[in-house]
Amino acid sequence: MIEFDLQLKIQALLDGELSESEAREVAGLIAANPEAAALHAELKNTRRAMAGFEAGIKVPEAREFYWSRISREISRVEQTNSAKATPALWQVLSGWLKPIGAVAAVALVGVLAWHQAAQTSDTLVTAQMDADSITFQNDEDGVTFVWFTYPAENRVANESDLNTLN
Amino acid sequence: MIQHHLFARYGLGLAMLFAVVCGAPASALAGDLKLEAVLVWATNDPKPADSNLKPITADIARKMNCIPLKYTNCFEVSRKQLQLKQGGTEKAQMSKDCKITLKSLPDGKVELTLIGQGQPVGKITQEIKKSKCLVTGGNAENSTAWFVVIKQIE
Repeated sequence: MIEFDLQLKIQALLDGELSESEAREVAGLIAANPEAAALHAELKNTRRAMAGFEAGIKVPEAREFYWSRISREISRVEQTNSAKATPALWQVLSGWLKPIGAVAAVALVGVLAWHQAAQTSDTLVTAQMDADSITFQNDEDGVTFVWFTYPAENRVANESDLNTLN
Repeated sequence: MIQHHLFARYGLGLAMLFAVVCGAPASALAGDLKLEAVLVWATNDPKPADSNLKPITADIARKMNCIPLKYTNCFEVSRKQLQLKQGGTEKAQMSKDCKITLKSLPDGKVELTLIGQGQPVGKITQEIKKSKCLVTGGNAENSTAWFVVIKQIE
């Protein structure tokens, strides 16, 4: 069994890839080694046999013709991409209107919630008064009415000296 | 590049939201309030012959019609205008024995203190706007009543 390295060198020798000194060295090894000589002969025969099957097919069109087709295809793809990169006006507007619409909706909900909270606050505020009072809320006319039971009529109001209207 | 794109996409919307958020408290905190206080005396009897009481004005009559208590005759005893500064306090002598104190609170509401014959009758905290007025009332002698109407005029 010959070494793998020698096998490669024999193949390189047949392919003409070795320098002159290397070729002499490998030729010496082949001459000294019957297995190497047998491999060399086999590869040489195989190479000779395969050489007849290399048809050397040639296309009728020139290389420039194929390259021009490739060049045209590249240009077409580039133009398509550049057309896609420039959005239409409605696309630009759509890009702005979507976030603005979303924010406006959020703001509207916030304002409504704030307004409702303010109204709730008013209701609570009207309760912030003395215990001796009765409250009436007329939201339709925007009137808050607070009736103070003090001074009570039977205790104070009938005393002429305590008339606050004097 | 991505940040620039995000700003271009959402920047204006965020600015609008910022304006709404900042604008809401600013509108809630109104400036000075010009208020009007009207002292009303209400009775089911005819107008006293020896008094120079004048009938209540139409706007006060509309407010009086909104309350659940009904009187045959309502008369205006006095009317005072008060310029209530933000955070300030104003007092008004509505009659010999009736005095009111209006105090502007930090949250934009107004605290009304009613004083009768030197004694506190009641205290109310209320937001007063042009569309929302405050009517307070109580018993007076001989089944009559007093009312103080507080409304914003500017």
